[in-house]
Amino acid sequence: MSQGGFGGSMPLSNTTSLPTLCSNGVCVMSSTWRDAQNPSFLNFISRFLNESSFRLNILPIAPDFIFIFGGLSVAFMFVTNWDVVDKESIFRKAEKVKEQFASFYVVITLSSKEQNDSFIHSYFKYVVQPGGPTFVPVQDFEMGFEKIVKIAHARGVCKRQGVLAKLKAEKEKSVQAMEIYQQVVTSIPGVDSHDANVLYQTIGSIEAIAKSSKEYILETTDLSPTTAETITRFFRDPKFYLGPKIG
Amino acid sequence: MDVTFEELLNYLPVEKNLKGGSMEALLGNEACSTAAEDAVFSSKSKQNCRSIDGCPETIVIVNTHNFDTEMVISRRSTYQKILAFEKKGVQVIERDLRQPVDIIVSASACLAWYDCKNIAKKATASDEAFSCLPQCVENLAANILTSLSFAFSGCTLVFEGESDFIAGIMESSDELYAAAASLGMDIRIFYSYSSEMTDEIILSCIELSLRTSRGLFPKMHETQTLAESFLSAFPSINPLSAHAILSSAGLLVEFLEWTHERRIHAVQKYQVPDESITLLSALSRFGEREDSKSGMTDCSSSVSSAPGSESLHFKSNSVGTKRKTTWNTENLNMPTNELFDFDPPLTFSKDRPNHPRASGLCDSRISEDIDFFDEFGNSSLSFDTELCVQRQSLDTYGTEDLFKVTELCDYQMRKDPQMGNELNKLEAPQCLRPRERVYVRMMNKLDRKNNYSGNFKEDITDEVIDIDDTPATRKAFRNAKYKSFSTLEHAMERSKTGVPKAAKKLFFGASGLQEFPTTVDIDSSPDACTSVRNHGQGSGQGMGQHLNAGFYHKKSQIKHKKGVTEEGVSEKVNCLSDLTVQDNNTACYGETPLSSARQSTRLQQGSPWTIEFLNKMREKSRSRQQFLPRDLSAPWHGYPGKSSEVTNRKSPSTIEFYKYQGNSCQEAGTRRKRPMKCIQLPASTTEKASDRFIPTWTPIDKRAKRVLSFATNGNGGQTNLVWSDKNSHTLGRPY
Repeated sequence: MSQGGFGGSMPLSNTTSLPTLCSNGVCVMSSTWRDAQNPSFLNFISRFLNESSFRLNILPIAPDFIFIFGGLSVAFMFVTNWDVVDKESIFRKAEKVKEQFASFYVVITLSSKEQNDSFIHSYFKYVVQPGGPTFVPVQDFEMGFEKIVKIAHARGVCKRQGVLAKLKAEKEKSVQAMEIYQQVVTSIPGVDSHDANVLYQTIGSIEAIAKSSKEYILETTDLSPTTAETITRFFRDPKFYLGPKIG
Repeated sequence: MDVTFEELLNYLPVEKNLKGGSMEALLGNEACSTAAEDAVFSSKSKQNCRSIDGCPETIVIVNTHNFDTEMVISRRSTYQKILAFEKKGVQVIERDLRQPVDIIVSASACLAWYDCKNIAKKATASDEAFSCLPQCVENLAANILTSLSFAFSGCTLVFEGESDFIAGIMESSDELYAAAASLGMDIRIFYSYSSEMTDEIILSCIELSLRTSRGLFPKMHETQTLAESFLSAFPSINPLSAHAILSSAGLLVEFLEWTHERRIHAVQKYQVPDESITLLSALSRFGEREDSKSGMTDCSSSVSSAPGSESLHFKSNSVGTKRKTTWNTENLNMPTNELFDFDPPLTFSKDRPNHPRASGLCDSRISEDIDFFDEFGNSSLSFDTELCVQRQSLDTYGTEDLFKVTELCDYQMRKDPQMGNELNKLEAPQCLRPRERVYVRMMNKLDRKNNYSGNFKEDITDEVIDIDDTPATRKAFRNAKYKSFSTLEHAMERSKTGVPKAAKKLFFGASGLQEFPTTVDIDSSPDACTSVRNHGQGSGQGMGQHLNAGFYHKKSQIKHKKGVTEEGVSEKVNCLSDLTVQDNNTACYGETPLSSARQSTRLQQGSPWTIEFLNKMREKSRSRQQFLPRDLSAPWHGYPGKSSEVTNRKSPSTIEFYKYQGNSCQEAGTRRKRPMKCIQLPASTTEKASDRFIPTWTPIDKRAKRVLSFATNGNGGQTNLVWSDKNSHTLGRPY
């Protein structure tokens, strides 16, 4: 995999001010990272950003890229030289940057099976706990940068539209359904769908069923004494509810 | 097989599996039984003899569902290696899981393994089989991850295959990352070129879990208990979470009597996701009756000594057999702000009857629903402000001069002369160096956001982090309060169609030559022009983006004069634009106002899509409940293989707000030039896909005009089968 293939060779300059363009957002590139890259790849990046209406800034920042879009900053490390880089330092740096950025991804170019295997070995060697930075293996530089922009964009849109909160609310609403209620209540031994419906209409919630006494169930429903006894015992007798499920 | 008959008889999982039916399948399926039996019996019998004394180091649950073909348990060598962890004190449990995962490595994390053979089945609904890899990944992101997010907060996906398969997954992997982020999940994606590497990944994940959750759990029952079955029936509770709940509470009733906060606190040490408990609490109070609550809880207090239950008052005349509940499904479907403003202590406490919301529940839900609309209205406002803010272009170290694209047209903006004037008046402080001024301008943009939307202030404060800890940038941040804006006078030429010429040049090549009719022609309607003009006032329909997308979409048909280099760049931007904006041409793929709005990154205030969105949300919620499986063993959110109808999302998810809407692999194939555009999956799956009924293949005159449906008689009870017009909205189509 070569970094070449693109026409220009002019490195990005951080001293040139350009006419402003309409923009999706701002991309801040690390000057240190830029200095280590092939100029042709930088040209590709700049064109990509240009055509996708991201403005480019070059600053001495800790991560390799920061995308500011939709009111969200998404940071990226972009490892383009896995073969020669010090693996441990990559993971240590990633952990450190993760402490600063809630939205942080490490994009790693792994163009061969050997590199992929090496990455996996290193990952489980140096990543000590879950919840760390998210690693994004890619095949080549172009795909890597494309992923960066896409992820940054998607995160920005999600942030802007409050998708996380909406999905949470949607999930919470979706579990509050009669069928799921039945699914849970009928998992109590001896309770069938009809009983579940009766319990729903008379006693109500699962919490309420759990708290109900046998007498209360008999008083409010037409369930049999055996079923009422089973229900109350199910929630209170460990020997019963920790018994194996049969059937 | 070196297994004695006694060992087989003493083997507990046999009993379990026989009960669940899966072992019957195992023994009945000769093709797969050898490997599975070997793996299960030989290793498990040893484990049975050895038995784990006291607390295991950790617990790993292996999914035996569809074990013969799809799950990792079907691979004997891998499963034996997993079982070998028992020597390290790990308890390996087998369960027929509803969740579409292979292994549960902790109460909050799972692992799913896909290869080119099983991905079509595992990543799609059982009645669907996508022959195209991007569609599988898309479904994986939209449905499977959503399904997993109920019960897990973290997920590891392992994709195993040849380089083509892996490249195909990588191509679409951004969807997975974005979906996981929007669902609040941690995701880890690994690619494996061999089964050995897959084994290594799986074992490493278990070891990682062993490191982080050592000694947390008491020993788990080898067979599923009644209580575990009950708790696992909650969609948000996986068996390990159920085990955590049972381990945390003295009695099952106690856990259900606890407040929401106490529940979360009790299972926190077991790493059970908070959201799982939140969803459990939401379901466990579903159907809560206002009138029966006091009587019921009082009876409960006489039976169980729940904390604080003595303070409840008995309502002797409030109950009667067969009372009609005040709830109905319509109310339950309503999205409420209550869901957003979750109030655990009050909501679940015994004081609930005194809560203002406890009375007039239906009314409150109605009003909350109005609030919900209002919230979306506010959301729209934010988008408008964002739209305005985005006009404040900045001087940046761009690349314009590098590529001489001097006529890049800003078709999205600068149509408002007032805005232009305003911008002209404001300048960055001249005392700063150029670079600092740039930064100031960037910060000004952010600052402007604060003026337009209160939300943005928080967003920026919380989310935009000091990206440059240098004196220069610190200074820039200090000066960010300056109301200065860069001058942006970028002459924009528009063609008669209202489409910027420079944009044409950019998207159609430097020469602007077009060989084919382009979207420009399509977009040249007066509406399009109006929309573009109105974009600046925030009342347009984002048509500029549509135009933009149209350019991108058609660009593949255009000759690029700048050669491969720019073509490559453009193709990639193409993908981004597809993700960003709505393509007008997607109408033929089933575009709706909702999809248009979803694709629009700039929501317009007052646009009808918000109401449309809410209607869709309700419709989806209803359809989910309407088409829930009658087989109660299957969860509503669907699991391939369990129930086909529930796995199909009847309407797009909220996830699709941001999702790429390429719609077809063919389209994707024309967009990019990477070799892996549309990976054809193995014949078994493609056959299945080809067998699927695709309505569009049926000639129009041959299509059914009517559908057979269930209809209520008006009282909500009796239903009839009736023929109805397809276009009729009064009757739902049967599934």
